[in-house]
Amino acid sequence: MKIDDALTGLLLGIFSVAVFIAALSFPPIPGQSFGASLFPVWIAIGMFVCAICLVVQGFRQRAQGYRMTVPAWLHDKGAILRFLLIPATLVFYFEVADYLGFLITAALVLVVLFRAFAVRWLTSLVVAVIGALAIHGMFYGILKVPLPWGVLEFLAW
Amino acid sequence: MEFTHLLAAVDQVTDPFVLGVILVAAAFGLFVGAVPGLSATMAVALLVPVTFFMDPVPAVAMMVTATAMAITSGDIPGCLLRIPGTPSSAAYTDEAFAMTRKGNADMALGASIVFSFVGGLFGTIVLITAAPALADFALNFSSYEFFWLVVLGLTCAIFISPSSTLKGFVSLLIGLFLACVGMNNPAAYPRFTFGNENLLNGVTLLPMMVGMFAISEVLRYSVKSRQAPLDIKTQVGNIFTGMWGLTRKYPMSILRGSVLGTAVGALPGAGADIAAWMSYGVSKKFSKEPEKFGTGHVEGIVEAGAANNSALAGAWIPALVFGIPGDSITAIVIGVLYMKNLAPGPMIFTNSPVEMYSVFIVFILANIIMLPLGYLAVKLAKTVLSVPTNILMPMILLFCIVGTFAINNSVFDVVVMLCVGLLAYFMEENDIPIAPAVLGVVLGGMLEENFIFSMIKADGDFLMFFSRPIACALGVFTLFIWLFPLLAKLYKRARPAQKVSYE
Repeated sequence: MKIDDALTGLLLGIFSVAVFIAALSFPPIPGQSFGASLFPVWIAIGMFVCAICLVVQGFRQRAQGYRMTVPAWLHDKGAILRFLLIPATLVFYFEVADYLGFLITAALVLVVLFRAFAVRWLTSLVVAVIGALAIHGMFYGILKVPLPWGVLEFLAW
Repeated sequence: MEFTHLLAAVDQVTDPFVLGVILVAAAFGLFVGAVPGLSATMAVALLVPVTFFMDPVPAVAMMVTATAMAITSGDIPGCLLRIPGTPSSAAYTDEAFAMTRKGNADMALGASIVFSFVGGLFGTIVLITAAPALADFALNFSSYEFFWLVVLGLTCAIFISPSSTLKGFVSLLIGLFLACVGMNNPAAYPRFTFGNENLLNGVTLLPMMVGMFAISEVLRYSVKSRQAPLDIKTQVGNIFTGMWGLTRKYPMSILRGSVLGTAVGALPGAGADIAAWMSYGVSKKFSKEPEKFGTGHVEGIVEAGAANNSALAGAWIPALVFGIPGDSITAIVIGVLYMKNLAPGPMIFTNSPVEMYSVFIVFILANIIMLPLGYLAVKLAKTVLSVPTNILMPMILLFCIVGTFAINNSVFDVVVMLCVGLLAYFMEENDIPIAPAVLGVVLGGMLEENFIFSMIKADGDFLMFFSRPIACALGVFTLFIWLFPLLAKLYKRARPAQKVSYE
């Protein structure tokens, strides 16, 4: 998602001020003049300078007729859905994997993602099952990672 | 003494398991490189969870082989479809495709693979000779020298990056900030942890890398409109025909590309992609027939193809000797080396000689098997390129989640991966380069530590940073790079450009 340089600069500026304030509260090393706050303070100052430059640059671009445009994919409901599906996948996986077990969770996640990316139903189902088994075989079988079995506990090997 | 280490290393590498790992990694690298949208760096990022469960030698072997193959096979879709498989092939994609249209696809692909092999081998030889010598030289470096080396490295990352210097700085500062989190600072004070104990050890490096190079790519793909199906019509014959002729015709190009590639690779922050662009430009400049460039002329492919593979090995030199990554790939490698108790630094050749010899042998091996496997990859190109991306991307996402979780059994790591992935996605969308941030993250701690220790040693006197000859030279050189743009501007102002008239 492309946003205006001035806006990027503004965000960076706010962030740098927050870092600066937080860093000032770090205690000094007793007897030394260089404590934990030295580097964060410098970084914050550097960010602030960059932020100002970005804002100036952004306004110059505007003066030259550049207008921030809303990227095409924000009008595309499918694209937004696919984008949001990625964090959602992560949350879903960790919420249910312990209960449903890796194999079922992984297959479910893959089917949903495949469908969102316009893979045909049959391919989605087949590849999801194969994919879940493959990743399971690799991590559980070869690399000995303890993936949860969940409701499939009776199949555990 | 040294010979026994070498024998031990040969023994380790020729272990059937290690050889098997190399073969699997080679196939994996060829595949990832050939699929547009998946880069060599991503190949390494995806390997991280796998290497975590391995001994040091197979782990490193896997990463070396996969990257060498990925950079080479990235040329295949560039040549056949005019879509570079990895950013490192982008410099000469148009040239290679022009050759394909003239019916010279065999020669374009052959040149890509054969001179990748030559360049890769050249870079490896430089790595083998230069790295131990440099380590020897660096043994008595103090915190002053290290401070300047890190500053020099970070400087390179900003000034070499093709995007604007300002945005390079923004990226670097973001990286340095991320490195500040946690209590790994000289004062051991927990910074920016918000009371979250997961953050006490800092933002974990490897999940961060997986996020930056794999998740960001999945996010980018998710919002892209549908891709047109790829269609290859070209028939490819024997790609090795005429390669000896090319070698005899362009020996200088091969040498120049290899030397420049190794050097650019060794510079922090610049990797194979920048090496290829620079080499292609240099090749055109020194060519006897520059007018043929862009019309399907093989010379630039020979030179830049050698350059991007030699850059891979070059990047390992500062990574092993100083712990300063030469490119994004070695930034990940450094993280893995630390996990394997192979801390990079001048002592690495003294502490782990067998492992280092093994790395060298793997580099040679990887470049040699590039020839037969590259040939195979070209033959299989149609099949490989027809694997749909919409099936790959969800698999990659799931793999990243499971793999990152497996490293520390930490959900928090996976959250870090996602957040950094989002950050990297937004940065790249807004033309903020990623490489300086990666370098900042890897080097932030080292920079701060060496600075604070030096300042304490020097009792606050900054001039002490110039008190030792090598530190002084490095410091002056760094300041020169910083002041160069300013000096150049002043010089131009003092001597206004002379107007040239043709009448």
